[in-house]
Amino acid sequence: MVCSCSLIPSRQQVDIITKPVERIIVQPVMPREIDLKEPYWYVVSDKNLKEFLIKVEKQEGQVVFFAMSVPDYELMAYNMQELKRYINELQEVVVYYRKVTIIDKK
Amino acid sequence: MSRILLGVLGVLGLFTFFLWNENSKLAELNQAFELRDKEQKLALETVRNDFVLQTSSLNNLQTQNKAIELEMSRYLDIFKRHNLTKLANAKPSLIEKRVNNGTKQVFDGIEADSKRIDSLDDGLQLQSDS
Repeated sequence: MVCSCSLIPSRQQVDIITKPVERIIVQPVMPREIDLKEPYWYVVSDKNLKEFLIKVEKQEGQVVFFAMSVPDYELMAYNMQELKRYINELQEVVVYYRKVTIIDKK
Repeated sequence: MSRILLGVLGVLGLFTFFLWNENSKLAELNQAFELRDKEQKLALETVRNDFVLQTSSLNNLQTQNKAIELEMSRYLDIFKRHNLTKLANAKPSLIEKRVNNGTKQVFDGIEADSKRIDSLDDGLQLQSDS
């Protein structure tokens, strides 16, 4: 009688199992490459000022131009380098995320 | 005598059935534990592999960032080593060539860098199989 009662299952056992689930992350389309147009820099000092003014008048029909001092040019160069650095570092971050999220099916 | 023998046989039969039943339950349990163990090992291996990949990728990222910072410093160092105002005043046409070449070089560099980002998804399946 005692043996027979022990055969009746008294409760359901629930197992908690850790199982790796492969997440499929859809990779976004990468942005189109940059297409930059180069401006032309005129370097003007008192040695070629007259020559430059004549050239501008000939090209534009009047003497009008944007001018930039040497320290400001250096500032622009610094800004360009800073942008280049940021693009490159961000690119490396993109490469990192792609590497760790793309499932290697080998 | 035969009644006692029958009684003993009956008890033995019940006991044997009990043992067989217990054994079956233990075998099932063992199978379940083996499966759980296998799955946990697989989970641990996946976590370990992910960690190795992430660590090596992060190290690579840091190395690349250092190289990028160094390149920027090297470029900007040109301005520190040379007095551009003095040079431009003395040889404007020479500096004009250098400045325009430098701008072209920087712009080409940025275009090449962006080309690398654009080419990352070349030949990649963008939609999942499921």
